[in-house]
Amino acid sequence: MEALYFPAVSGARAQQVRLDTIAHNLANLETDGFKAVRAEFAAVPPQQYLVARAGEAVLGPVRVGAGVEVIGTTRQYTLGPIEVTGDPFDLTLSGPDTFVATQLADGTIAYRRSGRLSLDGAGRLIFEDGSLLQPPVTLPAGTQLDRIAPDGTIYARTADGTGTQAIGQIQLVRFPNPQGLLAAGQGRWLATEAAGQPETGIPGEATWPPVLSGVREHSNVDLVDQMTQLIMAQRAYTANLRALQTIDELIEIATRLRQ
Amino acid sequence: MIRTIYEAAAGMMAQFARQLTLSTNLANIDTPGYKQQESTIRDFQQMFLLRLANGQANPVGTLSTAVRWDQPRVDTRQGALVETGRPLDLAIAGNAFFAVQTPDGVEYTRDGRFQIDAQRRLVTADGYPVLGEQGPLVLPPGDIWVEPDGTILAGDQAIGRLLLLEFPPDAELTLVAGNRYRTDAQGVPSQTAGVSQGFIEASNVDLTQTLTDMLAATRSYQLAARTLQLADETLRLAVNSVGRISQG
Repeated sequence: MEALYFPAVSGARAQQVRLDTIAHNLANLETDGFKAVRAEFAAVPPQQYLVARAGEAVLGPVRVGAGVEVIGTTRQYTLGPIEVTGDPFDLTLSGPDTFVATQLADGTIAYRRSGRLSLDGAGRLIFEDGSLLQPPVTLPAGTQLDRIAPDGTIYARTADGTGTQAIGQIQLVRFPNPQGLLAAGQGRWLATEAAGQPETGIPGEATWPPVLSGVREHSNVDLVDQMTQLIMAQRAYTANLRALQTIDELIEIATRLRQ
Repeated sequence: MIRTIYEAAAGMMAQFARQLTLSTNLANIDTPGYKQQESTIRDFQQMFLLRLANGQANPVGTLSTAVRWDQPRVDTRQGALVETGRPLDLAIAGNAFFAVQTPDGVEYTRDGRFQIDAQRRLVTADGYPVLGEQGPLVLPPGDIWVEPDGTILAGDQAIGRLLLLEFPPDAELTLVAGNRYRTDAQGVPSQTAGVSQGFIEASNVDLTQTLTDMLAATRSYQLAARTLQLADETLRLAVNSVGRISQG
C-alpha cells in the first residue's frame, strides 16, 4: 500500500533536500571562498507493481517507475567573483579545484582555497583561522613580509629595506576527485579516500594555475540562479503533493466501492 | 453484467497504474537525463464474434472487452540543455546515449553529471566508468575540453573520444538504477549527436501536460468506479427482485 504513495512522496522529499541545499547556499552568499552545493537526484528503477487479474483481463506484470532518490550533493568548484583588496597577503587560487595545504593546531592537514596570510608569534605564516601554511614558511628575523609572486614565491623585505629575498614558496595541491573532499567549515577541506591521492605542484608550472594575491575570492553562489532554483523547487514540491493527493483520492474511491 | 464489473475494474486498475507512472514522472522533474515514461493504455484484444446457427458460423462483428495496461514506453524526446559551468557536466544534443560500464554489463544514460574518481577515470555520479571508443577514459590532471563530437582534449592532446551510441527508434529501454537504461538492442556510434560541455540535459517531463494527464486519469478512474457501482446495483436488483413472488 505504501508503495503506491512512494513515487509522489519521494518526489516531495527530493525537493525538500533541494530546498535545504538552496538555503545552505543562500546562507553562504557572503562566505569568502564558499562553493555552491547542488543536490543530485536519480530515478529509482521501476518495480513490478501490479499483477492483477480481472476476469480475462490480465494486467501485468507491469513495471512502473518508482520515484526518485537523492544520490548526494556535488560542489561546484567554479571560481567565485574576485575582489581586489590590495592586501598582498590576501591569497586566492585561480585554478578552480586547486588547494593549498595547512596544518591545524591538532596536527591535522587541511586544505584551503583562499585566505589571508599573516604571522604568528614565532614568525611563521598562518591563515586567519590560525592554521600553519604547508610546507611551512618562517619569516627571517628583522625582515618584513613584502609580497607573493604569481608562482607562489613569498618575498620579504630585508632589514635595511633595500631589497627583497625569497623566503619560501606556496605549493598547490590537487585531488583526482575534489567532489570526494569533506567540507569542514571555515574554508577548510579535509582529504578522504574518495578524493584520491593528492598531487602537488608549483603555481604557474605545466597545468598548475598561478596564485593571485591582493585579491579575495567571494562565494560563488549566484543569487539569481538560487532564487530561480527556489521557485522551481517550490513548484515541483507542490506538484508532487498534488500527485500524492490524487493517488490518495483514487485509493479512497476504491475503498468506497462497497458501501 | 458480470463482464461490466470486470471491465470497469480493469479500467480502474489501468488508470491507477497510469497515475503511478505520472507520479513517477513528476518525482523526476529535476532528474538530469530523465526521460518521461509514457503510459500506454489500449483496448484489450478485440474479439471476433460468430453466431452459430444450424452448424453455420455467421460473423456478427467485433467486441472489445476491456482495457489493457502495457509497459510504459520511454519518451526519448530531448530535454532542455541547462548551463551549469561545471566542466565535467556533459549533455547530449541529439539522439544518442553515453555508454557506462557497470558490474551488470554496459548500460546507457543521458545523465552526464560526470566526475573523476580516485583512479582518474571519468565516472558517472554514482561512480561507474564512462566508456570511450577505446574503453574507460582516464583523464590527466588539469583542465579538459570536450569537443562537440565527443573528443576529449587535455591541452592540445586528444586523449580519447566518448562513445555515443544510437539505438533504433523501436528499441525497448528499461530504466535501471542511477538514471541508466538497459536494452537488448545493438547501438551504433552516432554520426549526428553532439556533446555540450558545462551543460546538463534537464528532465524532459512536461509539468503542465503531466498535471493535465493526472486530471484525465482521475476522471477516467472515477467514471470506471461509477460504472462498476451501477453494474453492481443492477445486478443486486436482478438477484433480489427478479423472480420474487409477490406476497400481496
